[in-house]
Amino acid sequence: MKVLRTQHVNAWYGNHHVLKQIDVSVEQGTWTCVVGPNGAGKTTLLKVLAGLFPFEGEVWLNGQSLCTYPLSERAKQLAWLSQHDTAVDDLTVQDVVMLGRLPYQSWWGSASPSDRDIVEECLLTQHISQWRERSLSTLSGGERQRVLLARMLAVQAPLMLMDEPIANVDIQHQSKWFHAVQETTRQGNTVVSVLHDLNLALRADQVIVMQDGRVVLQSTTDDPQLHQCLQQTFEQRLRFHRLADRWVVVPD
Amino acid sequence: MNHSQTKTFRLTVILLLATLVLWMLGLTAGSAGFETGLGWTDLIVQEIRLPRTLGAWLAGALLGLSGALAQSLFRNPLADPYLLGSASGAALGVALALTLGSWAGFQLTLDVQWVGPWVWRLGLTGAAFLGAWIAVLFTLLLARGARHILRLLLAGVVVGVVLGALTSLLSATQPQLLPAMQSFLLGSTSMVNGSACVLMGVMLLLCWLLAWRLSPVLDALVLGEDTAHSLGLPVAPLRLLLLAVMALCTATAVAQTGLIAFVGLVAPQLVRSQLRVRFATSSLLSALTGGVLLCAADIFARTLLAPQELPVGILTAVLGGGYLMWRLRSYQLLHEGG
Repeated sequence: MKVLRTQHVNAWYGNHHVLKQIDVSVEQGTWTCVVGPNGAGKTTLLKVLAGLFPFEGEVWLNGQSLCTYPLSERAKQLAWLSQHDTAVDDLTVQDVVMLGRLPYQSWWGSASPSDRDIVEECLLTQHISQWRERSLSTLSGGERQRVLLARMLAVQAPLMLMDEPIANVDIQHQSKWFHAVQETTRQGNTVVSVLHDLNLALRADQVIVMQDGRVVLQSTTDDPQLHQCLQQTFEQRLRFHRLADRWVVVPD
Repeated sequence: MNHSQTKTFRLTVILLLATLVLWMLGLTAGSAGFETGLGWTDLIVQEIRLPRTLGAWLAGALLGLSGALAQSLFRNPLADPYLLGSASGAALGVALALTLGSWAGFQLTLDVQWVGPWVWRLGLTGAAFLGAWIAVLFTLLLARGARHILRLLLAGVVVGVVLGALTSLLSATQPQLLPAMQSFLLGSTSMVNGSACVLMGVMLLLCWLLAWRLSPVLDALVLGEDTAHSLGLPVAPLRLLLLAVMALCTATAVAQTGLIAFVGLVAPQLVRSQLRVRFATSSLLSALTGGVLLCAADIFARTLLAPQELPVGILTAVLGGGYLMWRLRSYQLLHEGG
């Protein structure tokens, strides 16, 4: 079943045409990675898929037009993690993670025991429960990123859109993130992420390659065309090696 | 009780105790300095000192809450009702109301009794509210949003200067209003009476309740507009609602006490320098801090050169200006290493 699908999507930053005729689809229970050089339109595509950027064309979420989803219902179906969620100096780690439960709380209500349990679980999953009382301003960039990831997980949405989720995160937590993504997709959830790390991207189920606002290729990671396409996109500056059962990319 | 809760509790107790002490001092502060011989039943205490003391505290609390809202809403620690032009807008609203009333043939002053103190106070507050809201919208329009700090502050300064000039022009064209407008523009608690206190108290409660219930929105906005939107919050209309609450706080205070600068800027910053908490708590503490600051400044203004009285707005401007210069110096040292 296709969780997400776009048809002839175009988007503009002022006069700059940043997304051109985008047609992509994402299957349920898969991990899709969006890759491409800087300025290719990856973040804008992710924002369009999250309903956070104005566009022309159509985006369907679970077969229903994204624009017709009520905001609160969309927030439960789709969790978003931005690469710019940084200015959170006033809140503690626990406060930030609790914000992920907002779609389930009325404006006039407060956190339920179930909300607190879920937040606790996310704090434990991300190994950040020891910082619960700390202000985010006292954490490093990588530590903050893990807190923000926990905030996104607290939404418990079946579709997760993440823009550079492991930027600044140390290698053991990158590995934990990767295994968490594999585990969540096995449970039927869907992940779409923008990554600059091609080695991790090549371990996804699907890769979307973008360049100059267009989707150059959408295919599975074992597609022979993918390496060729990536070479062209990154100006023939990549070298692919087979290591054990996976592909490794190094700059040439 | 965790560390943050302990600090919050301690600060709340300190602020409440300071409030009590200042109220007691305020009741004894008069033209001959501090007088201890007077009782609750004395007319001067009931009619003048009690409303002034309580009014100063309530106006300060409204300005503190307004500043907390502005700083959270615009994610900018330098945002305050004055720097965003809302106070100048409120002042222009009051000046316009007085001028229109004057053109209609009424002999108006700030404490006019011709339609009863309640209607008059509400009318002034309504005019101030409209002026404040329109001024903030102008500032946002001129700054093309609230994201660019320097542009926002410059736009606020421009709007404040232009609206201030219009207020002066109106005052100059209505000579009979000049004395009242002068004390209004300098900021003074001498205009506060019992009905003004009740009005400010009700508005403070209403605005704080609204801010408290909408506090998750402000907390989520700290994570960025996109994230707040992705969490199902209709960011644009809620922002307008919070902007209206901020304008209502400013307008209510300005309509009763005139222009009193910097309390709205300093109160939330002092709270933030002590502890980092969610908006629901920080807004309450900012209101309490604002109340304490203005109440203390008012007592100083009444007693410093007794029997002569300083307009409290001048005192807060001098103290607040010094504080802002110190903040700017700290900011330069931090970001430019100089």
